[in-house]
Amino acid sequence: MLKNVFVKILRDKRKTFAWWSLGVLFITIWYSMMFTSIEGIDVSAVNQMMESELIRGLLGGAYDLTTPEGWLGAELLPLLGPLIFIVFGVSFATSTLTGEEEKGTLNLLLTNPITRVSVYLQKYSAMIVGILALGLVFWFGNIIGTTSANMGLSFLSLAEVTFSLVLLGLLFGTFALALGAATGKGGLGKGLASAVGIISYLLNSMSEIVGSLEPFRPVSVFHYYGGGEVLSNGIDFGDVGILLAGTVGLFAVGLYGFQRRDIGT
Amino acid sequence: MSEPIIETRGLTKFYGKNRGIIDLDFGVSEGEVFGYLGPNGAGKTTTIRTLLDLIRPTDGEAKIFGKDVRLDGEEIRADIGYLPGELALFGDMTGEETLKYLGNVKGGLNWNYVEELADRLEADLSKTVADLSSGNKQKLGLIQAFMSEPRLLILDEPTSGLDPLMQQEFFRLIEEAQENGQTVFASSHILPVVERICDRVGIIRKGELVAVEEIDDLKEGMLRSLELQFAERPPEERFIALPGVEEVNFEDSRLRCKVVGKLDDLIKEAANYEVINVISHEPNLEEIFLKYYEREEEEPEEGGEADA
Repeated sequence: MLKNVFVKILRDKRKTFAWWSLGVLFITIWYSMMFTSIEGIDVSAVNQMMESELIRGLLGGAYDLTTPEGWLGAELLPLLGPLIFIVFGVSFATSTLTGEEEKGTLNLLLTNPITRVSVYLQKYSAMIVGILALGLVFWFGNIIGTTSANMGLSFLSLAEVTFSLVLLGLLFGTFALALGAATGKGGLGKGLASAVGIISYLLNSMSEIVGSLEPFRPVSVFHYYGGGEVLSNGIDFGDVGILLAGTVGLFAVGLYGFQRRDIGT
Repeated sequence: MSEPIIETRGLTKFYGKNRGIIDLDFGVSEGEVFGYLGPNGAGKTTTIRTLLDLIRPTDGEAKIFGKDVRLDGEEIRADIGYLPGELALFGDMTGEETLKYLGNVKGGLNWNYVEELADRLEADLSKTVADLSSGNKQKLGLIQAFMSEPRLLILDEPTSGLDPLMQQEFFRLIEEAQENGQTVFASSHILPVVERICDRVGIIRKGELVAVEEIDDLKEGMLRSLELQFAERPPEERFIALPGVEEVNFEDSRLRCKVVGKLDDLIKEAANYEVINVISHEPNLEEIFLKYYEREEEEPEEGGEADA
């Protein structure tokens, strides 16, 4: 159980992860079940509302709520899904490295025959494992939900949309971890990651209705997260590449910064 | 003595504009117990953290086992046991889990020895760290520092929180370490501790090393306070006239005074009268310490100060 830094983080996170999994299972199954409740209801009025710019702005696009893709694309995927993965990623990131620094235990750890590179890599890979595992739970929950609700969505497209959520969580988690590692300020990583997340979300969804924002859309991280689009059209490998490239870049910044700075008491 | 275990040259650390340590030059030889003495905020912890490569010097260099602490840190730290001044442990783990984890990260964990140490320090390893008193946490800190039987022990305020009995056990551990040829670098602001365990001390003040001396040499120039109980009050002026005897003070037939260096003159003079009792107070570092600091206080202050 306590063989090395990597294993220890997974051990530390086991309870937190169990609660997150329960929550994610509940949410994913719940949203699919809700789909069955609107069957037979005339949702044309709601679909008409989709024409409204405000709603499109909030959801980042127009969705036909009577289709399974449209339902999940409008309900689960625009905000709650990304929120789950971003919050999970960021809190995982800040509690491992900078969290340990703030508690002071990083001192003791780094005075062992272990390099900072190794500590960073172990903490980072634990975060990847955590986010991937949450992705599996999310996928699993959606499979159970959509299958029980007879929504007829393929497991593959559910996997694809889960994968794009995982990438989003990974990017933000890396952002928080790297910034914390490079500066020693966990709060800064957390705060900036949250700010970037919110601004990205607003920029991306608002540019749907505010034409003047459109040119800035590529700046938004959310622009590369397909959401409901992935469910209907499959994953865009260009977007995947951009999210991954951003992640790798941030990872490198954190690694470089962590090796150079003073560790806090 | 033999090979230098720690060597610093011009070691300097500033936190921005704030002073950490300035231009430290000192060496610690193999098998030596070196005391690093100074009040809080003088730069003791900064020095130690630089040696462990937790913080990077602004200037100068430090070597341990003849290797640069920046370049060969990983290799060096394999042979160091470290006790932090402000010990932070994993609150949700038991003592046993903590030591197993740290032992695994360090490599070559000898659990039998850990149990022996725990036994001697009366540490309960089954309790969760968060439920331990600071003294019991300190025991875990000591065990993890000693458990790998490292070539060099770096101990930052090692006795803090230990009750007197455990302090004695700690002194024994240090003595054994020295018998094993291990080297000890211990910082403290508690003088009797340093006095008890160290061969040599470095005194640090406001980031600068003001003295490095053998404990015995330090004590030599010391004022020793002495009390002599006579049967009858002898003539005061005979004692006042003695060289090296100061602050002569009679209270009926009891003489209180302070003596610099040897006691020979005083004892010979006292022997002319009927002596009932002699009480000698060991010179302690407290007074030496104050002497160094008083001297420095008279000089004008310069530069900023950081509490690090």
